[in-house]
Amino acid sequence: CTPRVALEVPKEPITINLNVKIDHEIRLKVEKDVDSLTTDSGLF
Amino acid sequence: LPAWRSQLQLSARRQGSGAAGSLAIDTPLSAAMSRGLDVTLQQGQLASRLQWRWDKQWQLNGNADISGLALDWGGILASGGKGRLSLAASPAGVQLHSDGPLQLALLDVGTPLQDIRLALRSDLHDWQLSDVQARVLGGSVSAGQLQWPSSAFQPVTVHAIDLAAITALQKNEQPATVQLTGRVGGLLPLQLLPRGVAVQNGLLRNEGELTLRVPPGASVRAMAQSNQAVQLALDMLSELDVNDFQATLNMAASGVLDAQVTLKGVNPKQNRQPVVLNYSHSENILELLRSLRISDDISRSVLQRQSGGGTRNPVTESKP
Amino acid sequence: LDLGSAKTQGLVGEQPDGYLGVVKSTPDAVALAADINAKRREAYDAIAKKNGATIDQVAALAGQKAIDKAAPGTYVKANGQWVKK
Repeated sequence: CTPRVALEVPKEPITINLNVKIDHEIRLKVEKDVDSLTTDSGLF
Repeated sequence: LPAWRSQLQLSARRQGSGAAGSLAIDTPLSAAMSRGLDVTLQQGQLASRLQWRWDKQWQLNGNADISGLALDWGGILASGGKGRLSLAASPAGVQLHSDGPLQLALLDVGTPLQDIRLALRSDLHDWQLSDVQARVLGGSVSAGQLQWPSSAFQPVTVHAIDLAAITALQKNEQPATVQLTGRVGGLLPLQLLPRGVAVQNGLLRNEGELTLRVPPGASVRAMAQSNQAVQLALDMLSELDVNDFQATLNMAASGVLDAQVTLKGVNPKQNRQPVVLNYSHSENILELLRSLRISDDISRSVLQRQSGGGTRNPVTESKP
Repeated sequence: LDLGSAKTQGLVGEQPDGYLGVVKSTPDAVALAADINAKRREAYDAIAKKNGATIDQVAALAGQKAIDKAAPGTYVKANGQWVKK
């Protein structure tokens, strides 16, 4: 058999940048709106 | 004081030009006695044995045993508190120190800290804590010495923290976009301020192999349809076996955490393609814990009425 | 049949999902719940759009608040069961 040399191209790492910003601020605004809804909308 | 159901025995005898005697206090700890405190005592028993002396000035020393302590501190629930304190007091000041470890079974700040143990020494203004240990998020935190209040950054060791427990904290938000499993540990320099805690240059590293998954249903995938590069990135991140994870953490006293994570691994489904993920996460941790406590308050107040009172039993919680 | 008396009579109760649940399904109670829930859905949608949240998030938050503010003796749903607050 003939020796076969397979040249494995070294894989370049793929770089990924991921930025996550969790803003509880939205929740606070929603909470304020929901508070007034549940107290004076007559639906609760 | 009938509402407190406390017993107090005082004895006195002449001694030299003054007087001396003993003081014994046995009392349950209850909400009735917490008026004016910013802590609501729920359960517990206090037994204190003290000697007093008066000769031109007074002096008091002795010890106090606390057991079965449970309290609510502004929505933060503590239970299973016990320990012994030695006390020496005079007009010059108060010296307090623990006699054997003080223990707290549970402190629920939004996520449970369990089996807390520490020794303490204090003059009621400065508090020296030593041999501090607790279990949290599937792992443990410990510190040899902690001084409060202090502006210095004091090292706290973190070990075997379960990343799945951390991602589970986001349960209130949308389903976790990124699922991480495995354990991390490291060092968090903590600044224990009078009214807050800050972290500077905290460093966490993987302890053993980690895995990362971005589940197909995740909301971030919805974003991917629009952008080819994002689609490729998500395919790469769909499944990653991670051998190198480093996170640097900074948190201001306001609670805003900035975490910079560098994560290196290979994707077993893309014939072990090497991937480097630089992930930055910014969030107000105090807000997160507060919102977790609020949703706990809701389920607790309903469950409490169902089971007829008493503190919430952490075992029934589906907490990490 | 108005909402207040329907609650005190134990016909309807608040649920974690933010919508009114029928405890005893009399025709009036069922009609009332359908009417109220339609109006609530509209209100949740408006809040969600205004703040960039999802309607489910707003509804779930409203459910938490409604249960917490529910008057003693009225029904609330906890772990799938109707419970008197």
